[in-house]
Amino acid sequence: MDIGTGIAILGPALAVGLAGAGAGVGIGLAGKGSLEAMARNPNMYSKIQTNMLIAAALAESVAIYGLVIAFILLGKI
Amino acid sequence: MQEHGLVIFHIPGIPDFITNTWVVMAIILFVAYKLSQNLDLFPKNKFLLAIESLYKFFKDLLNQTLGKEKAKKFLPYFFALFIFILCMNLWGLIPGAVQPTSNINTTLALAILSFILYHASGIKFQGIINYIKHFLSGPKWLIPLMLPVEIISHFARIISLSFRLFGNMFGDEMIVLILFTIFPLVLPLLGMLIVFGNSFLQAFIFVMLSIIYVALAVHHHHEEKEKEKEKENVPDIDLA
Repeated sequence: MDIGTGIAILGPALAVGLAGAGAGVGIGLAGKGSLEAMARNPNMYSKIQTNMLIAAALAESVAIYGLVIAFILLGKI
Repeated sequence: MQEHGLVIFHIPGIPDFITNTWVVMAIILFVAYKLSQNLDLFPKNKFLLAIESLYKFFKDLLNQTLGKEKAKKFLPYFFALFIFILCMNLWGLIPGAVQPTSNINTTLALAILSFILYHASGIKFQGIINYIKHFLSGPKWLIPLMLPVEIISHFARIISLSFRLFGNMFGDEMIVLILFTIFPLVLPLLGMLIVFGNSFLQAFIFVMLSIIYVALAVHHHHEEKEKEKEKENVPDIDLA
């Protein structure tokens, strides 16, 4: 494995890693806001939970874009 | 592109994910036909009860976001879309079956369908001139900047919808594949649990986002007019 292939493999790894970092922060913030809201107002539990799942899936989708790019790039090595 | 080892439903000239889509459609139609015989007010079949409660959930969701008259028109499409995507996602758990949504073609087709739906419903409910004015909202000097951004963001919705579903389903399949190489009999079960949970979540997210896009396309002008009418109706109070 020469140096070119080694650096080429670094590309998909960075794609997934950095995208995953962003997704982790985003989902953590969504969870934080929703837990605070649930603690303040336990009546609205299911509504807040539904919206938290929507926000978490939207934040997670950016990490999934990174994963798809990683698969495409790995296929081209 | 035939990637899977053992494929039960296979027609030589046609890709596997298409034949498996047809099989899923046939199964959904058959089960729906069987369940719709002899309908009662209080169903005794527990599966039918579960599906009816799901229907009520979507009906309430659409009543909240769209308002009652429009919700009636859109409810069949969104409920059918949810059941279709859910069954396509869960189909991959069966050995010998190919998951149709782990292929970009299926998810792109569904995303383009939702795209056409919300534009067409926006044009139908608001008229084409009002609908194009809705792209040009904001201060007048900013329009040459905002118009390309809006158009690109609308096309990015297709890509985000399709890639979200495709990436989640394909990535979950890859997770199961990789777990096979680590600990052959136990860990893939965990992977399949992830596939099971993620199928529900991703189907729900797809349908939820389509509902929000339709609500955004249809609601815009009416809300402003209603708010103006409410301001006129508030009586002035005499504080003498």
